[in-house]
Amino acid sequence: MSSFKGETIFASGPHVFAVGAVGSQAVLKTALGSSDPGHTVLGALDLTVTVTGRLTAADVPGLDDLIAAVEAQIDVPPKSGTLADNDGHTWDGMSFVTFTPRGPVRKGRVVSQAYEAVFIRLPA
Amino acid sequence: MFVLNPEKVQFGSAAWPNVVSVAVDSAAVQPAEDWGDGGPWCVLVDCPQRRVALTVKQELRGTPLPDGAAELGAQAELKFYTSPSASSRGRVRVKATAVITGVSHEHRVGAAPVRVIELLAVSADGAADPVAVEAAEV
Repeated sequence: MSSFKGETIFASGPHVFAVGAVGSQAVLKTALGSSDPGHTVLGALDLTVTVTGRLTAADVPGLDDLIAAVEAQIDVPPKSGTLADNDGHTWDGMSFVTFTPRGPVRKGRVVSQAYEAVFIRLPA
Repeated sequence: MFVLNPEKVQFGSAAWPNVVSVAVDSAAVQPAEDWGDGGPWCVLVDCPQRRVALTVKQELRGTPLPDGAAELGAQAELKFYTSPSASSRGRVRVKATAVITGVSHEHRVGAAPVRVIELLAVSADGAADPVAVEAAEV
């Protein structure tokens, strides 16, 4: 079961993990004010893991509680912890950066909210 | 729900005579579907946006509807009665506030022309089922 800092904050509904690009951050020199062609490598990309899914509850107060529990894990400035997916992969030193609801709260058989949560391994 | 030969059909204050059938169809407009990490199959389906469509088929036997009785955009309570037998036992009244969204006609050689009136049901508050079925034994 997935977790962040040991808390199973996404367990109420289906969710998937996607690992972002790995490698170097290369930017066009022109983007940095230079008139030279080509790229400049700034350094290694920060590891990014994006969780997309849907929180589900029996009613609106229940969903509000779930959202509050997720938001409680977001610190400003971010504090890192271990992120674990549903398949046993773990990423240490991840910071919970953003939680973005996608679309309105849906009220059907269950009350649900689609979301995107972004975790980044920020430099120490 | 599909009712053949409903006993009496009324839209607002207008009676719709010679109705041969009323279909009450429901569908999810934008189902919520989600997949997890476990495999290829969808693990959550919900129907947060639903539509109830009613289709009234009315034989035209030389009795045209009065003007305004089936006007596009008109909203009123559609009400009809049905019973499982010729007696009043089990008789029910089906009613729904609905808006007329289409009027068309069908004709097959040898049969009476049929007016097809399409409506979409409206819920009072978004949470209540727009179609109510009530006992109406007499």
